[in-house]
Amino acid sequence: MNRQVVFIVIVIAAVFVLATAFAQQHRPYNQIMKDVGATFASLKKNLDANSATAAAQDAAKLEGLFAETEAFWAPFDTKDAISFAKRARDAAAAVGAAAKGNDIKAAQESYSVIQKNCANCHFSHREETGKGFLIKP
Amino acid sequence: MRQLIISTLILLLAAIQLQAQAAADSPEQKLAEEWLKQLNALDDWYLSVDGKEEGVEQLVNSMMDLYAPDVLAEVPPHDKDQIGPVMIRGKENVRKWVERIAKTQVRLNYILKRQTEGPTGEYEGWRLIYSTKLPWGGTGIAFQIIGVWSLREDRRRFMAPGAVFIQYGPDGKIHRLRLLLAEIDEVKPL
Repeated sequence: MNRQVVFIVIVIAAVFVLATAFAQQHRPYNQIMKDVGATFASLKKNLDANSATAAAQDAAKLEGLFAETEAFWAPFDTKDAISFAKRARDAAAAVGAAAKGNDIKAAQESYSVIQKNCANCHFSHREETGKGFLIKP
Repeated sequence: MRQLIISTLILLLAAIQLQAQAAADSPEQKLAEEWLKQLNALDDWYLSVDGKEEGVEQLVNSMMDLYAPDVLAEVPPHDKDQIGPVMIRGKENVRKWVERIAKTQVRLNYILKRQTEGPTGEYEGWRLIYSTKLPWGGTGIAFQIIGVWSLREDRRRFMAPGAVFIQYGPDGKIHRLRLLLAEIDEVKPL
């Protein structure tokens, strides 16, 4: 009986450890950025069309994507990139809140904050090669 | 007569050009430029899409190929608690210093200071390399530099005038290095 209990505990612990390790794995950065690009374009389209509900959905998705971006940079000593991602995430949350309140003007202003942080981060950490982009540390 | 003057001028210009070429192609000039090239290349590495540092090891190895195993290096302080220059003994310890630059600094731009004969010609003209044959064999070179770099962690940019003294052994490797950086100033936008 005791052996069975110990065995079950070990199996549960192993599953927990594996699940945690899997959860900590990052998606490739280029995939995150492609998703950001598409969602950001969709957000602009929806804000311009005064589609508050769809814009709020895009903003929520962006919030998650910028959290992923932040997690990518977290292990490195690159505080500026972490800050850009964090500020973009906060701005996405602000877009979402404004859109839910049907305040498109405020949402547009926060949208500009996202855009500014994206541009600043790309200026410092994205290098164009002609065939694609490289991530500068 | 006009043809003679033009021909003389062309010859004169060609002679000046040849002299300039000879100085620029001197072995000492190449040694200095190679050292600066390797130093400036230390930030030419990237992060992979899955978050791995790629290429930094090769750049450090390439820089370390210049040094002899018993190298003695005097370098600027690189620790917040350190006041004054740091004396580093041995290739492995110099490697740690080089790795530290590669991993903590970006947008490295160390340049050879130029000079003309005139009193104000400090930013154009010749890249002067002073050299001497060492009594125990090998060559010593010295040159003025301007060092510019940014901190990787927050992109703050710094600039400092400085000088480099390098002693090469008969084996062509660096046995002594002295890098002096004075008046390190943060570069801030106006």
